[in-house]
Amino acid sequence: MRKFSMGRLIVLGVLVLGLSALFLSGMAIAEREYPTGPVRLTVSYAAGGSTDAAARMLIPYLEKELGVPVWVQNLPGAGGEIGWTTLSRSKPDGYTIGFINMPAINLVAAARDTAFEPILENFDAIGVNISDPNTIMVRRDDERFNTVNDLIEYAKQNPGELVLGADGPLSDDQLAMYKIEQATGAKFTYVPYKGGAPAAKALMGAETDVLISNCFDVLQFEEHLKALAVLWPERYPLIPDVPTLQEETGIEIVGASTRGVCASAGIPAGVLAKLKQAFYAATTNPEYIKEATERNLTLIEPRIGGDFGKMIEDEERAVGELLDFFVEAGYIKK
Amino acid sequence: MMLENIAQGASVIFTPYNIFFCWLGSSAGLLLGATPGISATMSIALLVPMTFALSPATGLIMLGGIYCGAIYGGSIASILLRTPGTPASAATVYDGYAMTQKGEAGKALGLAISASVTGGFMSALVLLFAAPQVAKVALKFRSAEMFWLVIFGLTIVASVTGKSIVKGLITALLGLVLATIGMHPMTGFMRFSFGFASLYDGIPFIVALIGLFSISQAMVLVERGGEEKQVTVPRIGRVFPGWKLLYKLKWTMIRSALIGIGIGAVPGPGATISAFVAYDQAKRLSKTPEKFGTGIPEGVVAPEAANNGVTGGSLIPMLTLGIPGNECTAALLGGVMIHGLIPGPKLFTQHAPITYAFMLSMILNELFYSSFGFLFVKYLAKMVLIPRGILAPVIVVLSVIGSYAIRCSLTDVGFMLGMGLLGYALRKLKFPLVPIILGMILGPLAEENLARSITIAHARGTNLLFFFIINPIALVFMIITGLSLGWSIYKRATTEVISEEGL
Repeated sequence: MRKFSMGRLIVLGVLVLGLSALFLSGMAIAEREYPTGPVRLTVSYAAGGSTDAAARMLIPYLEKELGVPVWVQNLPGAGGEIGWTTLSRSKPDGYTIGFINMPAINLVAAARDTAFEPILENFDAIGVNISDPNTIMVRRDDERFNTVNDLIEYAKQNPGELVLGADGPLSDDQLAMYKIEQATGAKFTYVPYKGGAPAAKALMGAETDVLISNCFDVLQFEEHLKALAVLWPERYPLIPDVPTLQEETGIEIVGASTRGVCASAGIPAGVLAKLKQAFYAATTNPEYIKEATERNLTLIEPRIGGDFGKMIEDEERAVGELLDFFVEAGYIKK
Repeated sequence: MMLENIAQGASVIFTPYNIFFCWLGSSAGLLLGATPGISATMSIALLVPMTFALSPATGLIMLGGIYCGAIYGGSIASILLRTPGTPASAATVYDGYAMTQKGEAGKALGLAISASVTGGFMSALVLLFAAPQVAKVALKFRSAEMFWLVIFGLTIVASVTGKSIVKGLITALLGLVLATIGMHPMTGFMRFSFGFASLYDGIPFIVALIGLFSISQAMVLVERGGEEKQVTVPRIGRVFPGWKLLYKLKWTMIRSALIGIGIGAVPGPGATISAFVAYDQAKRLSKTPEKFGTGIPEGVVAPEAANNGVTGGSLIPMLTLGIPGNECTAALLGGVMIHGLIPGPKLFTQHAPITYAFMLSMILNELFYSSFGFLFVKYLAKMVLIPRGILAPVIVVLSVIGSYAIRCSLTDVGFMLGMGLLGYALRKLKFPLVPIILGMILGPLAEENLARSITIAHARGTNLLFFFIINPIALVFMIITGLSLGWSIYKRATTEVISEEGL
């Protein structure tokens, strides 16, 4: 049996310390030198959709700021759950970031046992700059409703008689409908469709009476449908003729489909700072703003890091308050 | 006004640059569609991001080329390999492959080209000259009408079951049950997902199709030994079918093309269903229905004219209203919106030159893919002379790639292989596979529209039956369904069914 001398112990100790110092400084170097390779940007919906379009628009500008290639990976399915699960489980080294959609992610988390709840504990917020407010639309030739007040009054007097078609179930449009019902006492019969366009078609074909959708659809279906109100604090630049709900009724309700970029929780502080800075620079680049506006993206002032985190919290709370509506209608099981 | 727009569109498309991309799209689409495992929708979706860098007109023209080329191209695999290259060609397998086995592969391929061009050309003309009018009619197809259209579609099962109607009904029901996996389209209630997030949307249809047909075919090939060639008669034959034969088939082609245009213009059912409806109609109207499935021209021409008829038809609601008629146009719509174009009337006024160039390109596509086809299918047809032992692994590899590419998911590959085993087992037991496909496509559509009809009828204060009756188009389809069922029962009861085993 060898004798373990004090000397050998000391040498061993120094070696261990030295190696860990090297290792840690290696990590610090990686953090300082980030990024050194391509960055993956996940989109939880299929190629060609609006989130996908927004991602692809952003790529060249992000690449310029980060100095490395950024590529889009589409991970569709389960209303976004598959993509967000993958994102939340990805290695938190800053080489995978992705889009999250609100309130979709909050609704999915409330409806099912997902791998990424609580949301703020599983994701590090980077930044958000796209928010598409909800709009309320009816047929142009529908004489019953000239203003949104007419609509709400009718729905209060005749609960359940008006058929409201919208994307869903578990969509921002359905949530907006419940917000309105809670605030005004109106009652609609909700009929889900696979997307805003089929719901608009149903309204045009007189199968439904009301449509809740987003700003883009107001422009797309301008000829047949009129927008009675937009659920936003002030009038939205893309559709300046549409009054806000507050203007018409005095009640303020804000509802929108929001898309922001996050990474899985636990990224080193230096890397996160770089990502936030890159996102901010890319989204405030005048060329980006010009191109995005031309392609009809619904931009808002970018909110970075903690501000975005607060938006996620607010959305979480709004969904929580209206959970009973979903449960009562059978879309979420308690 | 319209002539002016057409002239403007012509000036946009008739530049060497755009003509090149039109040709490129058609040819690439043809090859992608012909590959088992890569569907037309996937071909379009894969190439949409590439068009991001092109101008809106060029991008759209190329995507349109891919669409038309791929829908035609699928028939090549159906005819030569007994596995559809894209779902729309599933109905072409019956008579197409039977003709290959008789040594008439060339003729089948030539008929497929001719029929596809007829369907595509007619639908491109309807699109160009009558889009808004047709769109108005399409708007009238609401939930009640769609429900009965879909139920009518289910009566086609009787045509595609071969000898045993019972076996056909069993597999059709199996298809309907498989389609219930996932979220209920209305209530969001989760069924049969066993906690797998990948099953929340059900088994992806393409995955099931690839598994059922391609993998089972690969297994059959392997089972019969690796050395032999696929066909019993190692001959291909002339490709061009001859003007006399084409003339004889003109009514079948025109009628099938109209079916394709009609079904394409109604958002919901797609090219696959239209091909089956056309096949079914051709069979019912034929004087020799028992010959369907043995390798007769009508059996190839009807589905091919219909599925290419869908190309132009499905673009009608997509361009005029922004509502995709099927999966392929849903992917195309992404291409439209990425370029900042707003579907709807604005496309025909503000962006008229681009839109008309796109519609004109649909006509050009027919020229491009048909010439490519007539020139090269003879060489592609040599595929049937490849030994089974080589063909089978190639099919498997392509199937794996294709099913992975849908959602970047190995789970999907697993589902695909599982469906492949199921398909093989069913074939050994002589059960027809096609009714499963019909069930999987039509089941969710029926459920969705029925659920909506119930909800709306309730809100309107009427009961469901009354709701159906007061919608005239729904009533018409109810009657047609009844007639279709009655006819099938009558035929079965009074004649001996001698046709080939159903697929």
